[in-house]
Amino acid sequence: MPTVEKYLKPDVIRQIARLDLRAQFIVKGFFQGLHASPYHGFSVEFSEHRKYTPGDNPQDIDWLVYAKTDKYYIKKFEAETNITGYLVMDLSQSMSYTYRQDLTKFDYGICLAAALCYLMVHQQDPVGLVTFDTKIRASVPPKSKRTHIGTVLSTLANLRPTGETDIAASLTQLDAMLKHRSLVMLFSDLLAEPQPALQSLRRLRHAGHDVILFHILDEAEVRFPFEGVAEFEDPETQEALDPVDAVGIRQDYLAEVNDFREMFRRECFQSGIDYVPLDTSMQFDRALVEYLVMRRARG
Amino acid sequence: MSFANAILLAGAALISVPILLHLLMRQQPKRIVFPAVRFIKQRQQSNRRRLRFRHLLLLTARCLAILLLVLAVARPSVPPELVDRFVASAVVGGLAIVALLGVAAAYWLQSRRWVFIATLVVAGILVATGAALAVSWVGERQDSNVAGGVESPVAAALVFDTSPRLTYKHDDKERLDAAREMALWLVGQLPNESEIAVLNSRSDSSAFAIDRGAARKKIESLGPTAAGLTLPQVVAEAVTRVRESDLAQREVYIFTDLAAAAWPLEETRRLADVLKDGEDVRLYMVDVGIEKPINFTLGDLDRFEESIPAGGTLALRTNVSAIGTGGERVVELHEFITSEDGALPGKPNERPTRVRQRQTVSTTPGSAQRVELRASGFAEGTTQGYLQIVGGDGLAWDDRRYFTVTVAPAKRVLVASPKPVDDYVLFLAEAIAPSGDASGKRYSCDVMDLDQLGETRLEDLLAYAAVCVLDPTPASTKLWTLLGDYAKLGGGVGVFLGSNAGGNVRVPVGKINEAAAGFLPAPLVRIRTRTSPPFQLVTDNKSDAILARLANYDVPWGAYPVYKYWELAELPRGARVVAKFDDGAPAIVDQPLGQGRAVWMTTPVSDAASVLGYWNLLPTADPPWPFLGLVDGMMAYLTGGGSQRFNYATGESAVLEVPARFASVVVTTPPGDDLTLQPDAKQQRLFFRGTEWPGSYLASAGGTLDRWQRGFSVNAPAAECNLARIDPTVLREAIGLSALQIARSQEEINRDVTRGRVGVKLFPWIMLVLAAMMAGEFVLATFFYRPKAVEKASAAELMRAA
Repeated sequence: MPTVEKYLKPDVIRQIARLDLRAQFIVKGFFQGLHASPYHGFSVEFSEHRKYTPGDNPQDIDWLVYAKTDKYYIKKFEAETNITGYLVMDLSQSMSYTYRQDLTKFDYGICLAAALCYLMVHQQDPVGLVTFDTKIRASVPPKSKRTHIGTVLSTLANLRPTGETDIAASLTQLDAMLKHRSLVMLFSDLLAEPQPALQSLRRLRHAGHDVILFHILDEAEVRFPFEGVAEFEDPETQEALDPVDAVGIRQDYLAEVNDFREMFRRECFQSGIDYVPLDTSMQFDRALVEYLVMRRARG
Repeated sequence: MSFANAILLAGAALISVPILLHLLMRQQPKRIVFPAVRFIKQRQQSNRRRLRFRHLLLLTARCLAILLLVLAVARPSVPPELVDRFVASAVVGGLAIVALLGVAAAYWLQSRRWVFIATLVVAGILVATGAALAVSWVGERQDSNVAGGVESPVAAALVFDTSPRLTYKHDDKERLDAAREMALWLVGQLPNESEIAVLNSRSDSSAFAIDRGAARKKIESLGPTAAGLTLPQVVAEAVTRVRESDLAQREVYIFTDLAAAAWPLEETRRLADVLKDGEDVRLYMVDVGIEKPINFTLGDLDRFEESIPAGGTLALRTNVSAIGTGGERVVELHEFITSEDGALPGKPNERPTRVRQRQTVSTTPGSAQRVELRASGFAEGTTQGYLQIVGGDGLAWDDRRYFTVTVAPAKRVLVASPKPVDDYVLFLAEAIAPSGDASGKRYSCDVMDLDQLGETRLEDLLAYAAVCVLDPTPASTKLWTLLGDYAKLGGGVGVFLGSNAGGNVRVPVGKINEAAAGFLPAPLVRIRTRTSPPFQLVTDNKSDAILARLANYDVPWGAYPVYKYWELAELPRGARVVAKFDDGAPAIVDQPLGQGRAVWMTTPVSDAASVLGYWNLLPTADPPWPFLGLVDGMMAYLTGGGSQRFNYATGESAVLEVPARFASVVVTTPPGDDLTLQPDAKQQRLFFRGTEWPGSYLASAGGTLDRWQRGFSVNAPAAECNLARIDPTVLREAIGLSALQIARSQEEINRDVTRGRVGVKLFPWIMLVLAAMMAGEFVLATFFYRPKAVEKASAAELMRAA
């Protein structure tokens, strides 16, 4: 495996302490992988020529082509369209959960957000950051300067999951905040009532924003590796269930989780929202690909 | 069911272990912080129910496994005859458990209502059936012969078929010897303190022997016997005998050659009824017969003349049949030679003989060939001998047929009739003493008219053995008185009434009634006439001595019409109707008179068919054999020679007429035993019941001075010696024991006995079920607790879908 690509693995990236480096490595690893991948063309480099039409910026005229052909052509770049991206982090207590005691859902989300921030700034896309629990807590306005990366990353690095969460209310609040069409990238485990959250997501979409929903679950939440009789306790409410036989209930649990994800997938698809189910054992490129597909669609 | 190690059943208490573990040793739950509890909460209830059912399933499987293990080490066994019921109970029990689990599943998994009700009904039916089976099982077991292991003492009855068939030799060993050998070995095998009875077809078989030695002695002393009880009767007797024992285990061993003759189906079925009373007696059949016997058999002798006149001819007819082989055989007629002084040294069967005739017969397997041997010129007195197939075969008993005949000078018979005598006596005189046969006449016949008879002195008349009067006229009172006196002194008088007796204007019927009053059995009433249809004789009393000659034939009396007969007034007590007409009127009447007898026939035998107004066609219709038979029987009766028999079958009582002067008679049996017996003084007869040995018997009395000697012969019925074997399936069906095992060797006896006493061992089957149960438990446990590999796949699927 090429050396940089390994940074797409959560196991590897967690050994790097600095978030900026994590972001950098993830993106580099991602692009390293792209050289041999069908994702070529997602770069921000030259894409094609097209005839100049009045109203186009004369600065974009390719004078070399004019010299050769005596006709005005304009250089077209992929990144010619600016997308304002918002990284929206869920600060709920449940996000701090990790079964293997290494990378929490929150850490995973942070890494992913940092990488996306890095990627976007390098494409001259302004990117901002919003965190919320029961309401919006911190907000970094979107900018596309390279120095902005540092701002966002330092904010991300200082974030800690707090307690209960209210996704629906927070998203409604965010919707009110956004002035222009933006790309909202939500990082959450969605462990709350799904319908209000979906409703808020639909509202965002309705307001013309593009939404990518990164649904991050812990590896244990997806695989349910427990055995024996156990009392499960909700970290947010501290509510404990009656003891159950973990092995016995696994099948039911998994079915329920799958139903839940399937429901989100279906609802998001109908609303034009990109739904990306993730768990903390998955590589980061999945999320980056998702972003780039969206970026292209917007182009 | 019985157990070799019943105490180990206490191990069943071990099922409390999984139950206690299930109830008490529940795991302490660990507390796990888990954000996605909402997904657990939604399925928790149904999961708990399902888990409970799974636990119940596992608990049941584990408890059953422990029970089966305990059952297996207790080594249970079931009597072979109850295996099918046990299997049925086990299957129903298993299904009931499954159905009960189904009910639990329907309840816990919250199946639809009708599923729950249906499983409940099925379980109810199965449980009820199982309970009914168990109750019937318990009821059965109360009277049943509880298998108590190989070493518990038994009440054993050893039944031997001692028919002459068992003397069949194979490999120089008689079948009875083989049976004896096997039985002696078996006695050694019986557990200590067992009670042993030895039975055979002799009815005097003993009760339980005191010890093995006595039983062995009894077995060793067994010999062939042709008379007595049939084998099924002896087996029934043995079953009754062992049932009287206090011992729990009762066994009857039957040593048989499995010949069809030994197991008459009717009696075998009756034996089945005896056995059906309970399953408390185990039957073991030991086959000592030969699958493919080879034997020539001389059949039963056809009926022959046992009293022949001096110079007469003895004709013996029988069949020669073969089984398993064929070929030519010579049959000889031997006559025992009696020494000059009449002394009879040694055994009657081993006297010197002379061969009177030989005949060669050719036989094929399974078929019978007729032979007839004749001999004549016997000396007066008793003559004994036998027919024999020359050349030995496996079974000697059926190679000889013994006979005894008496040879006596011709008896004188007087026939009297009205004049002209020749017109009357022709048929009767010819029937009594045929004129064409010069030698061997049993009777010599004198003829005279009634007037001459009336003038004859009584002393002269007593020289005749019988007097016959044909179609008598009323005659004189003197004549009838003479005949009456003659009869009272031991003579036999035959009177054939006809048209001369009266009943018309010239001779009223009262005349003969008056003249013969005191001699007539009953007054004559009138002549009865019927022509269309004519009367006919009815001779249905086959056992009557007068009708003895016709006993074996169905006489077509319709071809011998009777148009007229004399109707008699009511017969006095003592008079006997020998034959009737078809309207019920007496045709032949026998009246004892003093020491003699008078026989009256109410229609004549002297009318020629050519004479107008004949009364019947009895002597003249063709063929005349019924008439000859009737006359022959009548003469034999009147002369007092017809009732004597000298040839018997084994088991029959022999009867000998013994002069009154002898108070005791010595009977010498074929093996040479002399038995002194007292004849019945009143009847002047000797009754001898010990006819179990085939052969010649001799009876003598009076010592050397007043020697009186008679003999008789006894033959075993040929059917007794038929070696054809019965199909074991037929036997099993008749005896009602489909599981009856037939052993041929010591190993097979051992196997059957062990199976019977211990029952069918269930250990291997229980182990099989146990293995299946443990495998099932393992599969269930693995299935319930296997790690699921679904989540990975489902996540990948979701990603693809997204």
